[in-house]
Amino acid sequence: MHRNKPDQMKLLSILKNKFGYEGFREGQLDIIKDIFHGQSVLGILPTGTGKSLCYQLPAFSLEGITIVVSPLVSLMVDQVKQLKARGFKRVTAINSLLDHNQRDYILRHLHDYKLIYCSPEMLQNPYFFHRLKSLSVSLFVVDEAHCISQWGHEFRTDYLKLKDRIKELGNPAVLALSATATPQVQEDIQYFLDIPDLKKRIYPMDRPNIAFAIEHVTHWQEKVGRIVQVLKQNPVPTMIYFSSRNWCEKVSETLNQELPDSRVAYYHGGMSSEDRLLIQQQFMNHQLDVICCTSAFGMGVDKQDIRLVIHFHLPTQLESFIQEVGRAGRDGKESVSLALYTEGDEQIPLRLIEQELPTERQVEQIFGDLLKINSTSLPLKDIKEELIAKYELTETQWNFLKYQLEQQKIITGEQFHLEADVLENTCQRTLSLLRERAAIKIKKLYQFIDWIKSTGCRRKDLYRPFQESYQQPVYHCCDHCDFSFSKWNPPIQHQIEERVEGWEVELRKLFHQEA
Amino acid sequence: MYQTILLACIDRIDDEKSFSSIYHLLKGKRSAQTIQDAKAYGLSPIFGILKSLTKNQFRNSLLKLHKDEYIEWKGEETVSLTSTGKSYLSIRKSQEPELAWFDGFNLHHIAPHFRLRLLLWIQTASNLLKNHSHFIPVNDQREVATWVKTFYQKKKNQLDAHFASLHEELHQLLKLHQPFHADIFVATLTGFRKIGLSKQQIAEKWNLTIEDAELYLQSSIHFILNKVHQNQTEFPTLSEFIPHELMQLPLTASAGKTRKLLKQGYTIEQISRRRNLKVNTIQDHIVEIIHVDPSYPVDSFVSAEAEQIIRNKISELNTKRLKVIKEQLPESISYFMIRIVMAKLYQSRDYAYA
Repeated sequence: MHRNKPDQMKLLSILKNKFGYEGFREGQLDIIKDIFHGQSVLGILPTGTGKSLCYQLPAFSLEGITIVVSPLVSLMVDQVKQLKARGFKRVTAINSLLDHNQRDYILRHLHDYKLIYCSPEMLQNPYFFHRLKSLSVSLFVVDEAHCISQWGHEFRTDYLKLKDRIKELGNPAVLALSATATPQVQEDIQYFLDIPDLKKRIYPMDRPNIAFAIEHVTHWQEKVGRIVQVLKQNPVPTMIYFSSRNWCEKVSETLNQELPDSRVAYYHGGMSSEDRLLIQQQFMNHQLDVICCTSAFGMGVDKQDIRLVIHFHLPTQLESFIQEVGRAGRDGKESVSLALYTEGDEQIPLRLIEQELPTERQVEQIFGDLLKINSTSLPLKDIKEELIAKYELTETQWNFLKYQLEQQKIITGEQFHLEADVLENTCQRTLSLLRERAAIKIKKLYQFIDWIKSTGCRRKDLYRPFQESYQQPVYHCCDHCDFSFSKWNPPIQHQIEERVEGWEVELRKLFHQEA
Repeated sequence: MYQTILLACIDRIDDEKSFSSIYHLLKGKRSAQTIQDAKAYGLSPIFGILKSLTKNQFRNSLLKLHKDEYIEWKGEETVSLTSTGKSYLSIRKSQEPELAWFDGFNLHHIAPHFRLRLLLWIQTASNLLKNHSHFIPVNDQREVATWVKTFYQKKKNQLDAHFASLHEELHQLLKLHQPFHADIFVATLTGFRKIGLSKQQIAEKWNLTIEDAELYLQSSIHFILNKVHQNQTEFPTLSEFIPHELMQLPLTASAGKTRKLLKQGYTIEQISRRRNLKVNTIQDHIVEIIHVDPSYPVDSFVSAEAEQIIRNKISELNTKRLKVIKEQLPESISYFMIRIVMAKLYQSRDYAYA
């Protein structure tokens, strides 16, 4: 099927010339070779080890096109930008951010691209899929593959529809990728993608160059004080995670006042894409030292020298925590994860969990509304818009509902079919699913809180649910074993003195007129 | 700056109209009503200069002005200046010469384009001159990227010389800014190993509100655009960045179509039927056309005598409220006729703050 399988030398030279890397990281070469042999693979590689290279490199050498399904729109956009900056032009992303004209343009020129990123919802778009089927797809990538399992930390019902799409595309090789998947989730991925000969390439997800510390404080102001203290002693590139936009802005402002020698900025999903891009690039370019951010930041950020990741607020489970911490120390040098905890902090993730899916009350009311409709068949569009507006549903909440309705054939294609007994049934089914899902999420949250409060080795307990053992730490292990901030000696890059110069000097520099 | 603009708008509109008309003006709403307000109250320079404004933001700023006792509530939807507000406004105006730089009605539709072209081109050339071709563009609008690509093809053989003269022209124009204002403008530029600051960062660093940060940047763009447009021989390099649309009348597409049909000799009723639009809508278009094109012949809509009667009444009543004027005129004179005359009266390019 693949006529020109490149050998190892050839792959290395592509890596060097096209991507600018000297060598492969653990796992990359094995997975890439599998792909060139037409083998379907499940790749579990830790965050920050170049998962995306596993399909980006083959994408430009394989004969047909490569589809990447990803739930993270901002990640797609970042990756397309980075690839274009490296000189790969035949790459695009199709998602909800595009306006009608842009989407139209891309769909008409679909045959011009080698690598196409799309959201799982987009794959359900009949016109897009029709266009896709007319092309030859060599590789189908399922990014964040844990989304297929309700035991994963994020669950996307649209992922359950992928297996049919893969079949309709003539069973191309599949690459399922995740950074964090327990053995149970790995099984779910294989089962729901329905690929019996899926080859598993599982690599240890522990990061031996990151030390873990958790500090318990009594008030959020103490958290701020502690951050100021740590950053004064260790002015290193730092990310601080918050649960909300307001917190990002508030603490960023305080830090800017308290840390006159550090350059601090905030980043969250409420900013314009232009501003977000600037902040991200400033951080990459060493113009900023500290970023206060929500989980919206960092997915596509390929910054090698982040030394410290602080959690001001907790995420909802170990998986997210591991992913966020994994942005530290990509260069392999000694880095630290610091989590700050106040009794009762779990209230915030609990609220986030509630918001992920519609509430039981909403579901009851929505089915109540559907039962009242005096018609047996209606266009989907009309009802959808009304429900979303009335119950202020997020896209994820609506997709969850829609999937349940599709399962029971209440929705087929673009039509609603309303029959009382089916509706009653589906309502009960949806409610029990909702309860089950909430129970799983809450269990995962408490698993995480248990870890925060545990008295044993942080490293051992953090990775235990995912793998049997872990590597020996290179620098320090954790605050229960051997770490304290007084022992930490991170490489400190001396800031280039930021001279205060007038606009005329700045303008000359920018235009290279300094002579 | 934002505060001064709000006070100046309230000063002009007073309690004749709901304050939401000010919001629509700043947002640049393309409706016949807003366009007429812009002209009638001499506020066309601020048309569309703060497109990111939200209803909430706007309401909060009114509440703040009220708290500071610069404005008072007249009705549920109307406000006017207090005497404190009036004296504060006249002090602010003299301290903010940049207010006179805005030319929103003529530039609001091309200013963003001009700015994005300039930003992306500076980033591109600054990097390419250092042989650095791998950079992430500061904006990803396809039209802008395409324009920059074509522009590069034109300039690549003399990139050094071109960039030096672009620097020279920008320098000359920024020299006419207050120093801090020029600092702000340059701080937003991105180039080789230097990423520009975001609006929020500008606001923090210079201790401005977010609205003021945006307005200072916007005023620079309007200033540069007009200077360059009026002196193309003096600024040959920058004039290449001006989008062609500036040469066209700032009409909505729909009003443009109506204008074409009128030229071909169709009547209002015929156009209304042909385009399947209400007669009222076509009349709105005609008023819009007169606003942007002072030379447009109106005698087929309003006779010379009627025009004179309306003019006299407007100056006698000294108001811009259509309803009041209409009530004092003979039945035979329609709203449409009054609006045409008002459009002609207030069509000059009036600088609200000059």
